[in-house]
Amino acid sequence: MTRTQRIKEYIRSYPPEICMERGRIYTEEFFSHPERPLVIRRAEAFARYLREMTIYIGDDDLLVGNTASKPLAAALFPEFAVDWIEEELDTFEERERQRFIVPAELHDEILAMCEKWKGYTHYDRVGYNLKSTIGEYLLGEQHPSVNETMIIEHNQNGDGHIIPDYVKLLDIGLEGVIDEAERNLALLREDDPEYLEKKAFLESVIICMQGVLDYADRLAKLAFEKAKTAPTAERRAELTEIARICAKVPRKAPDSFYEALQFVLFIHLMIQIESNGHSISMGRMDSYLKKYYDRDLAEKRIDADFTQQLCECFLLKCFEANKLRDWGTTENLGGNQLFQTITLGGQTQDGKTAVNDLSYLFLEALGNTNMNIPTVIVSMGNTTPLAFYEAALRALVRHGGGMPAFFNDDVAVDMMVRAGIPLSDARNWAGMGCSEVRIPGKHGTGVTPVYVNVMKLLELALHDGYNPNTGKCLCPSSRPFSECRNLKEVIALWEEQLDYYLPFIPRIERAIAESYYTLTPTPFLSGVVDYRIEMGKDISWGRGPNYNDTIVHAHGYPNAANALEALDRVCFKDQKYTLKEVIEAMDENFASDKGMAIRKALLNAPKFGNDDDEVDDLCRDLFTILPAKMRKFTPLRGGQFGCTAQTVVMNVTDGAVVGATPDGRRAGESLADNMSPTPGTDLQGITGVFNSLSKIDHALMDNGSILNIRFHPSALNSPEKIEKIAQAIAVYFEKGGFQVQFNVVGREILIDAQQHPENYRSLVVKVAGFSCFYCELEKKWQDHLIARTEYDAFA
Amino acid sequence: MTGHLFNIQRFSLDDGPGIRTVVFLKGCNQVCLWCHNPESLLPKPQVLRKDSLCTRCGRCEEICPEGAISHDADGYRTDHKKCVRCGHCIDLCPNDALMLVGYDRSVEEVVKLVCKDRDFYQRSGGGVTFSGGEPAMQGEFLLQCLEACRENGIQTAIETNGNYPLKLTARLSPLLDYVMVDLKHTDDEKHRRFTGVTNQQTLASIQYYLTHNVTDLRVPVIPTFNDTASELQDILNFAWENGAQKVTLLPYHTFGISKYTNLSMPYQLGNEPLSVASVQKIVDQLDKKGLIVEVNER
Repeated sequence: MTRTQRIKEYIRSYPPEICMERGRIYTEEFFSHPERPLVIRRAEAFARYLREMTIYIGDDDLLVGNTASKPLAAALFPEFAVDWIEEELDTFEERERQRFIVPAELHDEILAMCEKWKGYTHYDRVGYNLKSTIGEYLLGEQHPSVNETMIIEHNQNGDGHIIPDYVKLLDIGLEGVIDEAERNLALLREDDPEYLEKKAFLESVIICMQGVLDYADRLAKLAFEKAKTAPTAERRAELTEIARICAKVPRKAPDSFYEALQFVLFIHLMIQIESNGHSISMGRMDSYLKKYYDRDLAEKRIDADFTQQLCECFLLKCFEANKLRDWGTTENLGGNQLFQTITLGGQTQDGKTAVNDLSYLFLEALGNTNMNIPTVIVSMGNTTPLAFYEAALRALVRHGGGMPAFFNDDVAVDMMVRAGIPLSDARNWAGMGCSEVRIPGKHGTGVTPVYVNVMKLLELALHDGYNPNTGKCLCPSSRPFSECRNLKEVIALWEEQLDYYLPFIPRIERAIAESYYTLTPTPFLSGVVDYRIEMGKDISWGRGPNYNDTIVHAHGYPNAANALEALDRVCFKDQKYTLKEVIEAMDENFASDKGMAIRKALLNAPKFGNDDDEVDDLCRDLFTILPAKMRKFTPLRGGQFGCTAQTVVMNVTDGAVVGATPDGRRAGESLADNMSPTPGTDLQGITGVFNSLSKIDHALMDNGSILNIRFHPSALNSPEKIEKIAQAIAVYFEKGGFQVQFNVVGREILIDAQQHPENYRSLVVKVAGFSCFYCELEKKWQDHLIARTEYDAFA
Repeated sequence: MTGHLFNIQRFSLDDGPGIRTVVFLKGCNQVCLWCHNPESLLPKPQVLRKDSLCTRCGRCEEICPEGAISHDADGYRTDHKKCVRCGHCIDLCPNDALMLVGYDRSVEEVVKLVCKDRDFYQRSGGGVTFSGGEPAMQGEFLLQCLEACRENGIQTAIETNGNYPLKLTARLSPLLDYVMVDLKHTDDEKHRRFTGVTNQQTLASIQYYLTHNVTDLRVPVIPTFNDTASELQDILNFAWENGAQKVTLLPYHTFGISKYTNLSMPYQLGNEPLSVASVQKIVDQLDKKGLIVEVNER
């Protein structure tokens, strides 16, 4: 077994469990010193946790650090929310998946902790803020919505969504950060009306940094102790090296690749200890670590093999960090994803390709570790060599689960420049979370206030403003839908609903952002990003020179375009049925004979994703409307609302509340994911999908969009095919596509497809040398493919 | 001018060099017993039932005005002689299990669609491939399509059985950048028995293409038809003597069987599929002269 395999086995040998240490310490610190400023209390709690928490080093670990007392254990973050913990405590062990063990002796302590925090949490504050501003419009409790048009995200999470400034940190070490804070503290003027507030903030930054230094020292001691009893001389040498490195970083600037990687890992884990917000990303690791690697190579201190081994250890350390969420969110997110994203490739500040040896080593490491966490993406521009595309595809095949995802560097830079960011910063963008484009260190945290259901808003427009599920009408249409004479008038009705509902977004964002700043400031995070120490203000305050961008998820465009195109075709152009007939058919969910015939007519209209100009252009136009409207609002934190068409997995949740729609979709069925074509409607092959997507002006949505494509492993089973697919992606990006990720279809999907063929109609499989639709294959042959797929995928 | 098609497949990675669009023309002048595209045989459109989606609800049989749909224990079938392609059953199938295979397209429509992926062809050295059925069955339509593609700067290829007069071969040849032609059997009698037609025109076309075009000879290796060492040796000899450089052997597979069920057509070969390894074993015994002989899963 390789070291990587041994570490994987070691991590997985720990069943996820709940770790009380953080919750206990934060509770004590919060309640025992009520006279202290909250930010100080949070800093003290953070530092004390780091000084007292259980630390460990795995038998094969080369990198060290942890967020809780055991691998895969989840710490508690009571300051964000406790209601759901109390409610679900007895079910954590019973869940069908993402189960967490609750050690019996902790049960009562957890309940007592919850009891204590009630009324003091972020959840409570946001609840209060929402009720006091838009209370009368809210529907539902834990995941409230505004008449089902947008789900409000405010439950148990910290803010997250940020990339620290690793370039700067690696240059100055945390001692440098402490120096900076002390300098600014000395410069504070007592006549500054915010003197006390800023003083508390800067002191809290220093307290946090000290805590991290103490933590690293503890690990250095532990490694040294373990070295004394190490089973082999080799392991003793490894542990001694770990001890040496932890005694040096993150206190000082690193001098070697190994030290730099351990440095980054410390910071990355500490951010996730301070707050449980997800999408804490690492930025462009192959770029900022290059100089250390080059220096090591020049001085013959390291070789490529050991470097790759370290990269694999790093990836596995990210997997080791776990998070407990409420069941609703867990189900929605399909797991415990922390959305920690590493970006490879991209360009240098002067516009040359940044791809280097480390980029390839990281890809190799990804293919070798083969885990779903962390996320690795590649940034590909017109200067990226084709060889890097091919290496990424080979990693994709070995990984089998859709990584790395491909991002268009040139569109991302365009996106940033159009958002007002200077070119030199724009070229340094990195991916964050799923598809967000961020400038490391300079972008602030991105509250995600809402998930806007574009299809629900269309449904309201088609029902004169009424929500058929709730009977509620907040914005009566100015004219009945059935009297529309052309598509333009229908779109105008949709815009009326948008104009009514979108202003809720800044109101909701305010309710959430105010609470983060007031109740859960993050002084450690503030110390590892740009400007906050000079400002004397926590990052959650926003404003200042940071790029502030609040993420608005708004999705459902492929369905909306298909629905409007179908109405245009069937009712206005061909006049086969009237609007009234179509509405009636939708309301009875296409059940009657006539309804069925109407549905077929609607289904026969062109669909997005087939390179059909008419419907693609419609989608392109719809895509521009919402970002333009959101530009008119300013978030509490300043900056702007940056839209994303990314669904995470809300397309399922969104679909559940929308009745039958004119794209032929039946009531409750999922919407298309992200900007991918509706499943089963893309019949023109991948180039057709690529061409459709390229017509969209992706740079309009600052926080990106996603295209999912599924491949059978045999589509990538030869170097020639990998080359052809690499060329296809390069062309797609030249034409302005933004992002694409491939699923190399595994066994489970083929089995599910066999049982639910209706969900997999456009799943193309290579059975022998020729392609066919999987669902049209005889069962016997489906079985055959199921039996051999794993071989194909992992051979 | 219009032609009968049954599919246009974009982003094909297997039908010639680079990324290609494959235009499948409907209608064939042979009936090869192993054909994996039975929907390509008849020129006219046909109703196809995706058996895996059919829930046997009986709705289609009930509403067919021609009484062309019937059922037995194995499922529903359509009598293509009675069917007038009115589309009622397709419209009213609650499971979307029925569809019409086959449609007409003009030369302009085909070329317009082919041109949509021009950027992808240019980057990868790909282009258009005409396949079938037998694309040369619609000779004039095919010629016009090829000319128009050439005028638009698109590289052209064909997958063909070569079974047509040499005059047509000679007209097609200068319009083709790449030819994939089947060399199924050198023995005429056996060729007739398994494909329904003589191989004389085919052999002549192959000779012509080999001297005029970049040509890949393809041999479907079919049990009881041509899977013996001596038959395959005869094929290699013919290829070598006529100047071929490369022969690709395609082991028999049965992935197309479900399409026969879906089309209510009988499937006559009862053999088990051949593996690449088993065909490779035979190939290892052969005298390959100077030929490159590849065995592909295809």
